[in-house]
Amino acid sequence: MVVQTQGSGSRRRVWRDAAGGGGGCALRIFVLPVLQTFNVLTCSKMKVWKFAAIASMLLSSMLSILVCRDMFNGSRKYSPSPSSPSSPSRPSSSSSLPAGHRRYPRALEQHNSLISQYSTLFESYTEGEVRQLISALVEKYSQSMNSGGHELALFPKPGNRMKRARARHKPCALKELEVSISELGLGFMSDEIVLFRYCSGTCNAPGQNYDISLQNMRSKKKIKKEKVRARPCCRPLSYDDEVSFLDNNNRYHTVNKLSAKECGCV
Amino acid sequence: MSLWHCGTHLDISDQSLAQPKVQFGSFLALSSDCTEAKRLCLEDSVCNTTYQTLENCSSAKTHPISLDHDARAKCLDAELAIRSSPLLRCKCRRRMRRQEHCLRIYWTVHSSLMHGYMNMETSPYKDPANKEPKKMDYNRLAALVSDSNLAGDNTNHCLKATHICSMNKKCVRWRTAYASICTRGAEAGETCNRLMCHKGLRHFFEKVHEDFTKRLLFCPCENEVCGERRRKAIVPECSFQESIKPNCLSLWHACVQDNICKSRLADFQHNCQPADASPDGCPQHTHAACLQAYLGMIGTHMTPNYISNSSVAISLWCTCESSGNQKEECDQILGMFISNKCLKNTIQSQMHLNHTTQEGQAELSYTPSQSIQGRSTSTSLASGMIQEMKVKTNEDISEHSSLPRASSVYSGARLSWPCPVLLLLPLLLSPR
Repeated sequence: MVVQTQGSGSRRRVWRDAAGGGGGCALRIFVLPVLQTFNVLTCSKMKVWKFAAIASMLLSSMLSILVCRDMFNGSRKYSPSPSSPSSPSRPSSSSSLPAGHRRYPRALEQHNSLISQYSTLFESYTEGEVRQLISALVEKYSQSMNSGGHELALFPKPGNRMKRARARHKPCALKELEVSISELGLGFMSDEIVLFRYCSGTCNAPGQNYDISLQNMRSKKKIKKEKVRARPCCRPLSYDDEVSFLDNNNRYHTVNKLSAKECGCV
Repeated sequence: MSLWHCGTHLDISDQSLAQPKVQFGSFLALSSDCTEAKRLCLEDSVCNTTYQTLENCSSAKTHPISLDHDARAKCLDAELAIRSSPLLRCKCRRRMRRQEHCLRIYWTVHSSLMHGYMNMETSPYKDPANKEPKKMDYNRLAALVSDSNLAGDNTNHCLKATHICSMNKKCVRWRTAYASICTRGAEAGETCNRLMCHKGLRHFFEKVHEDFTKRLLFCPCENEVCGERRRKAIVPECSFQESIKPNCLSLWHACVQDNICKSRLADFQHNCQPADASPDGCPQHTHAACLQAYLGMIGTHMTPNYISNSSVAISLWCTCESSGNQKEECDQILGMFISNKCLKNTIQSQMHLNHTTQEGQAELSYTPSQSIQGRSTSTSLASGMIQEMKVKTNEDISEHSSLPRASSVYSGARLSWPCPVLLLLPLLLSPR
């Protein structure tokens, strides 16, 4: 307590105890300024202190209001995780909040454009958090460019379950990947890149008579201990033309039958 | 014989114009294609005979058979007669089919007894004015390469140009074609087939769009690794170097015997002739024509190439030693490549262009709007926002660090302006 008077010391002590005993924020908001004004008005000689007291009373009340409000607001704004904006197709901001504060996300959803949604969301972040968010997003973006072929390069990643389901049931098809020659593992060291085309997918079509018969032979033990395959698989039907490149020792090399041209279930 | 200035050969022809000109009434349309022009000429009986005479004359010139006086007179008459026909103004296109056939017609018409040795002042090539909109394709691929992490270090522009070529089917196909021919048998120690290698190189520079080929060959380099790649682009062990360095004059003679090499050389001389009056040293004020002409020389008898991996110096694989009293002409031939101001400026400006456009690709990487469809527009928005946010945070950091971080939240910033005011109030009141 800034202002101290001797006259009403005991009375003030009682009030202070009451304030301390209450311990509530609301109590402090109202009790402290009142106490201050009481003490100030008893000493009319000290005009300077009067003004100072009024000012500090106003200030403290403002600050208390601020602090109390921010304590309530902080729980709302700190809860959305950095990963939620990466899947913009779902309104995930609402799902990750505690149940008690649903009022605020609904207010957000009234904005009709995605940008304003994002900007109000980002306004609540600190600089450090925004930087973290940006680095996480850029990493994800660059990761999605690296893994998977051109098809998945620029699309947002769906949930893991959806992706697994899709990969399992995709039919046999030609896909494309950018790799450096060194990464091919053929023994060449070159920084040049090549479009590697490969066959991937499932072959669910019913097999030929061959497959049925072979299966039967195996089950009737007429073929034992031999490695046979009674199901078609997704393989290239023909290969691309040869590709030349300059290796890191400045020599040209040519590789043949590197990429697939067409895919089929054989 | 002077290569750059062929003298006043036109004066002789003007004097003889008093002779009655043969009329070619049916040639109303100015067909620019020599094959077409020849077909039209052969339909006309008069032009037909004139052309046949010219053919005999030009074949006679190439063979070391001296013409007798009557034959020479006949040839002169035919040469004058052909002047009034559209055949004189016909040209060939660089990427046309049966290019050699067209060029043969051109040189039948243009080689003459009157003009000294050869009239190499005009170029037989002329391309149609319409430019194909292929630039979009190149920029799209360049952006894709910038995005991917496989681009590696950004300092090797030649490697980057190769990457962009690798993304284009045509470029890969024709590059593989010449590289495989030019290196065939190299591992076994055999010498390569130089003729086939040259043919492969010519096809590459003709069939692949110039955007790819010129960036592959004129990539700016800052280190030797990059410079070596640039030097090796045309497989010089097969196409450029030989066991011995011939004399430049013999190279020139071999070139003018071949229609294609002769045409390319005429085109090069026409477009890359150094002009002192012009600020950039080139006669046409466009580097594009000289660049195209230079690319046309690759794969001919007079194939030029970089001679070192640490500079942009270009030369022919020939020497002017033991040229005897023809040293001046020999030096002139070699000088067309090693001390040509126009060519130097053309190459420098192209390398500078390639350097700046490749730097600019980085900015394109955040707005890949052309290749996205459907539901990924939100991703493009997000990525666009990432770019904006990145810029914003850099600016905002400097702003917000100065404010008192009482609550350290952006929304608090709105309400934080009264705080300093209220803090100042006691300070204002206390001196009283």
